[in-house]
Parts: sequence; structure tokens; C-alpha cells
Amino acid sequence: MFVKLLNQITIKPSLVRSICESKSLLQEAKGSSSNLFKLRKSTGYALNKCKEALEKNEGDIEAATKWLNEQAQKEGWSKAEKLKNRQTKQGTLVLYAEKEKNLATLVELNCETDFVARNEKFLDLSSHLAKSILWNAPVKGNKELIEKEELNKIKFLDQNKTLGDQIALAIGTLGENMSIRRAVVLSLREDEKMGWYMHGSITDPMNNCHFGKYGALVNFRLTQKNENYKTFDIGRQIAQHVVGMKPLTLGEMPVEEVNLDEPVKIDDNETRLLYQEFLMKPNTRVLDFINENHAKINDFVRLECGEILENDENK
Amino acid sequence: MGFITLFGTKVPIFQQVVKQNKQLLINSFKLNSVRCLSSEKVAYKRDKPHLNIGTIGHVDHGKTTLTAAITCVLQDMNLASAKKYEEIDNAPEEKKRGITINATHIEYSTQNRHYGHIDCPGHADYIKNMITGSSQMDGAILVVAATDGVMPQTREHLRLAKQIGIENIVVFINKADAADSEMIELVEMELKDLLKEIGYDADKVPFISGSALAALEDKSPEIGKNAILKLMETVDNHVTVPVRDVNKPFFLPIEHSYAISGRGTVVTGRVERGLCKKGDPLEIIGFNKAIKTTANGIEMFHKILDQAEAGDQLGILLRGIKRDDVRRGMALIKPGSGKMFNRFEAKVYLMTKDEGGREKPLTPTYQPQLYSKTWDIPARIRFPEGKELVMPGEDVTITFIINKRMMLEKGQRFQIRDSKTTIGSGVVINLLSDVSDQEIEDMWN
Repeated sequence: MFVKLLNQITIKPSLVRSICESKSLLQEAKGSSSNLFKLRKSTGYALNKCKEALEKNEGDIEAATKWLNEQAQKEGWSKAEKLKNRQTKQGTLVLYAEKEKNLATLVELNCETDFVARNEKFLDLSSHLAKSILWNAPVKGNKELIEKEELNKIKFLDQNKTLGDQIALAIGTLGENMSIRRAVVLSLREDEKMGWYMHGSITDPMNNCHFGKYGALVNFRLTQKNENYKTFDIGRQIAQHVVGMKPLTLGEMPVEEVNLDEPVKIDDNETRLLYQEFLMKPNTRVLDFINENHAKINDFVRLECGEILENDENK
Repeated sequence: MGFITLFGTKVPIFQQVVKQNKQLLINSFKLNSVRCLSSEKVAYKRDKPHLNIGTIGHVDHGKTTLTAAITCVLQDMNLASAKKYEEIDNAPEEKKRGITINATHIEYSTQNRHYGHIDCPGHADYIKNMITGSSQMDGAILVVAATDGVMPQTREHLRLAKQIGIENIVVFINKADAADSEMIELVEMELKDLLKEIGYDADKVPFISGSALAALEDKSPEIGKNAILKLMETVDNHVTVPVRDVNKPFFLPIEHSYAISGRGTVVTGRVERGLCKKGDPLEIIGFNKAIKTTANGIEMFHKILDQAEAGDQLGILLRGIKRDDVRRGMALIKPGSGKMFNRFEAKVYLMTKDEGGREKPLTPTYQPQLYSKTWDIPARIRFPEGKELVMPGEDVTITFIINKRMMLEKGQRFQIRDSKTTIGSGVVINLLSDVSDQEIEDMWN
């Protein structure tokens, strides 16, 4: 213990200064504790790991940080391997769009408990994953659904590693099993508009991402300028309806002209989007709403975090 | 009925006997424990105050080991029956998710208290329980491993504890066997910062360090068994017993009212809290009305009582009250102990279709009927800023406006129903200033 203390006394002058300046509780603490505390605070790795790093690198914080970062990837993979059988039913959806590219993505990232699902570090990770997918995923069609195995191979941001690597790293630091389950990328043509709604209303202004448990993207088009609503609001209202009413298919537009004065019968169990009762306006169908507002829906997608899919049941 | 005279007041004999018996029970079972010698069920002895305590903290930091260690150490003193780690971890309740999850399945006593152990399965689950009232933590032991320090779940659990109003937190720094004193010191500092950040008075939160594993394996008693004993002693002293209903101001939610010719009006109901003696002044409030009165007589099972107590189902004869003055749903209270409101904020849980609720989400135009105590009343809802939908299975803070002023209190629970079924539950978290009668009229027309 005493020898260790002596070791710490010969630390760099710059460190001594920063310790003196720090107004934290640590002022009364001993030199060695400060080093450990500083490393822990700057890296966020487990205390015993930080301690090991300092011991291995004779108290040199920079070297210790480097060692920790190298270790973390390895440890992450081994921890990920250890936890891989734990169920991940919680998590978050994350929505990220880039208007210039006419691209939007909706990604589901899962973890074990909803405590971790609310944590900033987890949300930060999901923002980065969504960005990576939008930037780096190969998108051919108008709508691309990407499965877990494919996702794990996608390049992480502009770094020399994959999403799989980054998730393993996060498993190591957050201590819970995690997995990226699926992602949808929507690519729009020039005349198409994107409507979106993310139910949950947590946003990450830094990365311009939105988080929630339910999310919907709607691809629509306006046939003429609308005076009642802003384009954004039309898209948002349809997307909200999609989240709330769970339509399964779009449905065909009716051929004949609709007589608006005649009350329409609406089936409560309708699963075609166009024929459902519009959530925002009782006794009106979605198709009546879009007709009124000169809109046409091309496509939509709805994801629910943790929902059971038919494929999962088959497995 | 016979009476004996004690300090100049008449006390009915049967009450006196009950009091003596209670004393006897306390004396003879000071060291009571839950014994499971045979397969027969042991009667639960109500000789110590009961509290629900939860262990919170990051996964793998030793919550379950600590619980096992507590039962193990207390068993040696005949205060609990030891539970193995697997028994706690594999309890079916932990795996089930539903509206009545985390039922207490572990219990232990100290010299002074009886504790039920509550688990913390998930944030949403716990909020749901808080809203529906199915189980409540009176205090929590925050477990943090000295080897890891504060981890994401540590932070989120503590946030939840603060959010649901757990004021009494005791910190147990675990795995002291695998850490040295500097690490423990560091974890303590980290935790103090975190406690402050979340809004606790960090200087008043007690810290105990030790090793739950050492206690379980009966090694190094100073960080093992003794640390556990110190922890429980701290919990005993630090976590306060909730005020018993009997000691609160009198409150009876009125179920029925009857006109009795020649005598006046009798109201019936179950006394929710407090005491009321014949001759005590009372107040009836609800449906925009407030009327002063006096208890002229108290009756239970057609017999006269001197005193109404929390839990009694009875009738009270009120002085100077006409039948038309009172109706079901009004509150009979100690004057001034309750107030009426027509606007309040509540935390609401909307049931899923599987739980018997709606399939469709709620929109701000929804017009529910609220049920609480013995009243029901139509309401209008206002969502918080930025919220436009509430999905089934979700919890949310909603402002309610009811069309008559009723007695409301923080913590009061209610059901939300539409024409046919209960769609959700709520708990009042804030009482807001009244909406004017004119505005109410506009809203309802």
C-alpha cells in the first residue's frame, strides 16, 4: 500500500495540477485514489479494471487508458459470449433521417431490462448504430428490411470496426446482453414525402435521433398544395394513426368517387390502413382524410419494440 | 354490555381484554420467528411493525446474494428461515409479468421489525405496481459492487426510487472481499455524487460495506456476518414505519345515506382511517358541497359504539343533516382535514388488451369516467406537452378535470373506465387550482 503511494507521488506535474483544480470530493483523498478516480471517471470502466490498468502501467494514466480500451473490446466479446443466452426483450427503437439524402431508418436495439433501455449510454449507442446503418447499409429498393446477421456486419460510423464489435463493447461496459434486432431503411424519390412518428418523445438533439417504443414511417405524396395542414403535420398524423391502429396492409384505393355526405360504415377490426377509422377524427376513414388533403400514401412501416413476429414463433 | 371504569372514563370490557391480550402477545413473542417445522401453515404473528423493503442495484452486483445472506444470518438468531440463492432467483414470481407481480415471497425479522422483501423486476413494471397499488417499498437497500462502482442500472434504479417517493435508502457496498479500502472509498464518493445528482441528501444516507458472499459462506465475520447485522440494524433505524391509519384524521367515504324518521340522517361506510367518538364535530364534503355536522351516534351491527375506528364498517347518525344534503361518494371527515378539487395531475397506467383494457390508444379527446373510494364522476383529460397518444401498456402523467369538486388527496388511487370496462388506473400526484364553474360548463357542453 505504502509502496503504491510512493509510486503515485512521481506522477506527471500536469496531473497534479488537475487534481488540485478538481473541486470534487476527492480533494481530501489520497494521490493514488485520485488517479484511480480520474481514470474511472474518464473511461467509465469498472473500478477493478481501472485499478488493474494502473498497476500494469505503473500509474501512467495515458498508458492505462490505452490498455483499458484495448482490453475492453476483448472483454466485451468474452462477456457477450457469456451473456448470449440471456433474453433481450426490452430496448428501444431509434429513428434517424437525413433529408438531403432522402433516407430514413428505424432501428430496434434490444437489452435485458428497461432500466438499461432508459440509460443515456444505451441511447447514445443506439444513435450511433442508426447513423451507421443510414450511412453504410447497402440499400437497393424503396424499402429495405435488414436482419440481425446482416446488421452486425455493417461498418460502425467511419471507424474500422463493425456494429457487432461496437455492441460487444457496450455489453462489456453496460453489463447486460444486447442485440440489434432489425432495421428498416426507407429511401424516397424526389416527389415523395416522409411522415414519421416516434412514440416515446425522448430525443437526442446532439445526433438528431428520436427514441421510443413504437415508431412509424410513412411514404406519401401530395397531388396539390394543401391549405389545411402543413406537409409535416399530414405525414405526422398518418404516422400517428399507424402507430396507434396497427394496420397490416395499405389496401387499394376505391375506384368510384366517394360520396362524403353518406355516412360510411367502419369495421373496428379493419387492418387495411386506408379503410380504418382515422384515429384523429372519429367517423372518418383514413382514405377520406387523405382525399380531403390531396395526399396519396405510397407505403408505410410500423415497428414495435419487443413485438413477437411470426418468424420468431416459427423458430 | 359491561363497562369498567378506568381513569374516570368508561371503557367497554371487551376492548380492555383485547388490549391486555395484545400486550401479552408482544411480551411472549418478542423473539418470534417464522418457523417451518412441519408442513402445516404457521400463523402469521402481528407483533412487530411490518415493512416492505427492496434491494435495488445493477445486475450481478449481488442483490440476490445479499438477500440470501440476510435470511441466512438472521436464521442463526431464529429470526428468519434461510433461503438459498437459487430459491430466491428462481422464484416464479420473478419471471411472471403481469399486474400483480413481485409479490413478497421472502420474509425476515429483526429484533424490532418484520420485513417483506420486494424485488424490482423492471422500471415499467414497478411504476405499474405503484399506480395500481399492488405493492409498495417502504425503503430500499441499494447494492453496489466495490469492484465495479456505479453502473447504468445503479443510476436508473435510484432514479426510479426517487420518482416513486422512496425516501429511505441504505447503501450496501458489496464485494468488499475483492476490493481494498481505496476502492470502497471511491465507490462511496461516486455514490454520494450520484445520490446528490438524483436529489437525495447524500450526507444522511448511511453506507455499510461488506461481503454478502462471505456472510453466506460464513467466512471473515467482520465483512461477512457482522456487516449484515450492521446493515439490518441500520435499516431498522433508518427506514421509518409508515403512520398507522388509526392515527390519521378521521375519514369515512359515504356509501349510503338513510333518513330515519324522528332521528335524522344516518350515513354508512367503512372507516378508512382515524377515530371518531360520539359528539365529535364532523364535516361532509364532495360534489361542490361542504356541510358542518356532529356525530350524534355510532352504530355497528345494530349495536351502539362509543368510537368508530379505521376498518370498521358502520353507520353514523349526523346532527342537523337532511337526507338530500348527503349522497354516496361524499367524504365524512374530521373538519378541515380534507379539501375539494376539480383539477389534478395523476400518474396513469393504461391496461393492455390482455389485461382487460383497450386495444386502441387514448387521444386527448377521450372522455373517461373516474371511480375512486365510493364516488364516480365524468372527467376530461389533458396530456402533457408533446404527448399526443397514450398506448395501452404505457404509463403517463395526465391532468384530469372532473365536473364537480371532490375531496382529493395526493396518493389517492382511482380507476378509469369507459362505458363497459376498466381501462386503466391512476394515482393522484398533484392537486391543482380549481377550474371555474363556467369553464366546466363549457367543457361539458
